[in-house]
Amino acid sequence: MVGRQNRWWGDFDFPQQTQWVMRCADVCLEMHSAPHQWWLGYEWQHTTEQIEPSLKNETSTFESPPKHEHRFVFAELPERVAIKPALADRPVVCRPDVSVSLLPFQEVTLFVCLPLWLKIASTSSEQTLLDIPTVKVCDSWFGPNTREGVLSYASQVSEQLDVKPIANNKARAAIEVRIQNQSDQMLTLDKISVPAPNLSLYVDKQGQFWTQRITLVRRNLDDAILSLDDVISGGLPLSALELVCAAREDIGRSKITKAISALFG
Amino acid sequence: MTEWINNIDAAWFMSVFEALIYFIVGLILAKMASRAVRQWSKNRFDTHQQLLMARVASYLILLVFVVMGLNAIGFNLGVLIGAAGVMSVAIGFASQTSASNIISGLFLVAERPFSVGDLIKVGETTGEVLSIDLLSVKLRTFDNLFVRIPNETLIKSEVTTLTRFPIRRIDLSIAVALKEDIKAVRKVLEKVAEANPLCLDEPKPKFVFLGFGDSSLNMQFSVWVKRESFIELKNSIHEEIKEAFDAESIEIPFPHRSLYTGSVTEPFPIRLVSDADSKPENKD
Repeated sequence: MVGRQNRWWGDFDFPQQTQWVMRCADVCLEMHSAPHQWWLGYEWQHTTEQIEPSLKNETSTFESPPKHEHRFVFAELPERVAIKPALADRPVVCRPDVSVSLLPFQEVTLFVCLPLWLKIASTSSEQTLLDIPTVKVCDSWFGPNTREGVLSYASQVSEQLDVKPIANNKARAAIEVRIQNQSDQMLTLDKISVPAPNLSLYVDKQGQFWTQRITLVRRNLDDAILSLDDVISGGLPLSALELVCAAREDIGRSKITKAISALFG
Repeated sequence: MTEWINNIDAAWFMSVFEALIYFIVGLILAKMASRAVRQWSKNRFDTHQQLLMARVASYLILLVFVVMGLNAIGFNLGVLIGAAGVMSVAIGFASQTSASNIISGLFLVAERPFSVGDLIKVGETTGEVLSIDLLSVKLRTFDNLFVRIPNETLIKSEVTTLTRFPIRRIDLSIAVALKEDIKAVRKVLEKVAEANPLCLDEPKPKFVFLGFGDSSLNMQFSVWVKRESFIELKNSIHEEIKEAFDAESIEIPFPHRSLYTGSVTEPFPIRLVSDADSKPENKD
């Protein structure tokens, strides 16, 4: 295996008759290279969460065929495989264990772990072959009613008021969410919708993943602003980080305004 | 023949030629206008509306040039308009239904209760909308039948668009034996919904106790799902509930009936017969 600084992600040699097994969070992914084809099989295993992802040259670990299998055929077998972590392709709904109430004209900063997605591609083509979550996510709906809203993911994420407890999980991305209540009414947070597709993913030298900080400002009952800050979560300098995956959807340089119900629940 | 040719007025010939030019130019301009309108309306309106607008533009331009051409020939349009007036009364009586369908079609296009590709239910018929035409809407049912529904019928009936909103609710009717613990049953159902990835986390599944039936406790358990996964979840969740009930020994009852002989109940007479007594060779 040829990698950069022994990382579990990146570009790797993938010659014929090679087999890799990747474990990250709950997902176990096997990749097998055969003449003119790649076989990729994966399933989510809930035994223990692999917080230190790994990629190893192993024999098959599945006792029976995995629940999800894909075969990709090529006229000319690619020599290398690209494994890239990414963030979710839909907003992720984060729910505190106990709802949080923010007093008028107060501010709070929460740290949230977002599950990672894995993108598998051949280095010879830009086409992504697989784009899967590392944890089994549940669909959810986030919106003011059942007619207006957006399909999201509900993930069992933990939120903290301090970055340190979540910074040791290398199978998730840490995001700093700053919430400002600029109205004269109490803001109760049962859940927050994190716009994961609009965030870029960075990695530090220890292999921990980070995103940009986001700021949610509530102005009044119906108006809120979401902005992506130029600052990285946790206050890390950009020079100490490496961009792993750019945002799936570019939000542009301007802030976006959304109804309060589209950001907070 | 020569006499006829000699009688042809050069001016008349020129006017016919002029009329032909008008018709040809009209045709070309009508086509160009139709294409331009379609291009302009591409991202603003749906397919059916684009087609309608393009047709209207094309027919209007064609009409103008046809009138100009007829005028060039020297045709008296007043006579035509008069005849059209009389004809329209006759045609109007004859084509009431068709006219009604056309007008209903225009209302449907303007109101947009559904679009091509949507699933709709009209009366007993459920199907995918294949096209919304001038006189009728064409559906394809799930068993691959072609159904034509007049626009007038759609305007007058209740139409349910099953694919209007991104999410739908599945209402499950659950009945358990009278001896079961309602709270325990509720917990089992909520666990099943939580474990199924197709069940939306929000809106939360809803549990409603409907009442005490003759032989059962009746309840409703409603879960939300993405509309694309409706059938898949409907099947899978019933299976999972059955498995969960079996695992927790929760009984799904069959109807029970208790029999009484009257207000002052006498016991039913019962005679016990052993196997030995019932065999003929033993009866001596």
